[in-house]
Amino acid sequence: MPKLQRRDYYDTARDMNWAFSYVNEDEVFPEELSKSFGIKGDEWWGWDEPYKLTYREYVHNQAGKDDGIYSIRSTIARSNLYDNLDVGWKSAIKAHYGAIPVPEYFASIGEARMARFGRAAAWRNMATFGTLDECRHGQAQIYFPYCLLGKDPQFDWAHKAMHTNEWGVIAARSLFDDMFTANDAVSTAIQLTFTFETGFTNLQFLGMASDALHVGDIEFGALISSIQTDEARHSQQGEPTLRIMIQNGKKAEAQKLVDQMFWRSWKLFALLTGISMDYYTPLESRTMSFKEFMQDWICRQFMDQFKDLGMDLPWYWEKHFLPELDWVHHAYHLGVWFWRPTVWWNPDAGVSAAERDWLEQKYPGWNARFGKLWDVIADNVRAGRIGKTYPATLPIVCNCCHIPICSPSVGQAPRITSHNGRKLSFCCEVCEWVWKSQPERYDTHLSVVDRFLAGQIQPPNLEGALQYMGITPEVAGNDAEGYAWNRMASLAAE
Amino acid sequence: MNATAAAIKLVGPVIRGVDEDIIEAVITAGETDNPDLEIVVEDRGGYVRVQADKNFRLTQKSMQAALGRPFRLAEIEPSLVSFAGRLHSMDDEWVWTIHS
Repeated sequence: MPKLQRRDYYDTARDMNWAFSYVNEDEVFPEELSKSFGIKGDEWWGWDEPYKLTYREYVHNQAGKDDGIYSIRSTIARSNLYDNLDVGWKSAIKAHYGAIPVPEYFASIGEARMARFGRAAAWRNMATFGTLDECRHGQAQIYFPYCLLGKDPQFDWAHKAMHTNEWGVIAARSLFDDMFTANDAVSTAIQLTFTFETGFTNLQFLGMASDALHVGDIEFGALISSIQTDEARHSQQGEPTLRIMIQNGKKAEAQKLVDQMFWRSWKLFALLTGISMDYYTPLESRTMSFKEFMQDWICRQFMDQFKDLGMDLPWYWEKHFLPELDWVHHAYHLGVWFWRPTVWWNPDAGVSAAERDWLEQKYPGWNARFGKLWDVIADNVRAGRIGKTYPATLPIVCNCCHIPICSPSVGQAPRITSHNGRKLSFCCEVCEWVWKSQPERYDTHLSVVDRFLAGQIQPPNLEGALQYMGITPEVAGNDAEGYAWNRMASLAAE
Repeated sequence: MNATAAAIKLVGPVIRGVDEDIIEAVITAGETDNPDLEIVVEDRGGYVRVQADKNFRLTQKSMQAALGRPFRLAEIEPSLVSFAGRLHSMDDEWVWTIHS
């Protein structure tokens, strides 16, 4: 039988678009599930994916990818690779496994929605692959930490985290629900596949893969870089969707979708990736600083592509985003370390003398801004006043990003405002803008502090809060090095 | 940054760091397929950028020659972790570009 070239059958196989005669378009694509932005029917049929693949090729590639990562896992399963890893690095992968694997299934729901409610057949085809991709990511990233459970109970949170009300989980779930599970197909393509996957996932999945190979964690490096090969493909649903919106005069609407989700993604990745790269990754294994990764992957690679499509920088770029690159994740790190019993990993202070020099070099002014706060903590630890390095209260949490409110300088007040009589707190002007640009999506959602004030957390103290968050004693975080960083600093001072 | 550096927009594939044979093949094929452009290789351990200014072309023919075996471009996917620029993929040739 003669074998056809792919180009000879590809369009025929994928272009299953037709005009409806027995039902209305609105019945097939309800606005709640697939917001049209006023763009009608066959205007969407020109949707053309940049990254083409047939189902046969898909199955062949995916089987090979899984063979690769699972054979690495079984090869090193009985080795002592994990035991020999740096303690800070172990914290970085625990944070990853709690925050990411179950949300991969959330992403699968978003992809499945596009596979049904995407407004062109070619798009539904790519989203079908995306749905399967995200299942693979969920399965692998739950199985790998499951294999480490015997070595450390904190890996239990790879599966447990998203089923709890831990504060970081509330922040992550709020973002992922907004973007994946509670979103319509068209907005999902712009926000999940374009903004999040073309932009931000590279930071965690490639930045951390880069550091992983230097740390010697081949298993984690191979796993997350394999996942990113799926993302590189299915993220390409964003560009053709964006292009059709622009062609039909909906650039402003598309810009708003990107601006909203770019900001929300930034906040969560500053928390997860920012801390992991600049504090938990051992100094000798850091390939670039978090800011340098952001500049390379977001400010350059993502924005080059975004602007090439005729889009503009988000309105807050100069005033809010670029300045935050210098301070926000340092403030988050300080907070996470201070509230360490509330997380499922052991925060690594990462402020030994050599690490401080690196931080000052990468972020000039770090010592004056953050080093002096760590000095107070270090003094307390040295004097045996460990109790003073623990919190007695809950922080104020932002009603948009759900991360404790931090400011670039001590004593700067949060933005307190209200909506229909409800008091709201925001960390910054942009979070307030995101929330107020679509209050109907957010105004019934309570932050962890709102829940505390509403009496949902009992007893109303730190113990009650830990219980509410699902944190058990064997999982509650403590200083990763048992304060060894401070003894080193102390010896150096003497 | 001077005016020339600012105008350079590097585009092209980003290859998974553990796939040594594909990294080498993409560099070799990239040089063959983009004779007028300087190929910039950035090795970050976990991933390797292979790029050129505003345009990067990769053909099946050059990949096959570099690998010394049959190879369809769709088979690059397990190694392609990301890319810079806008992709246009065909059966026997993939191109990444930035126009502006």
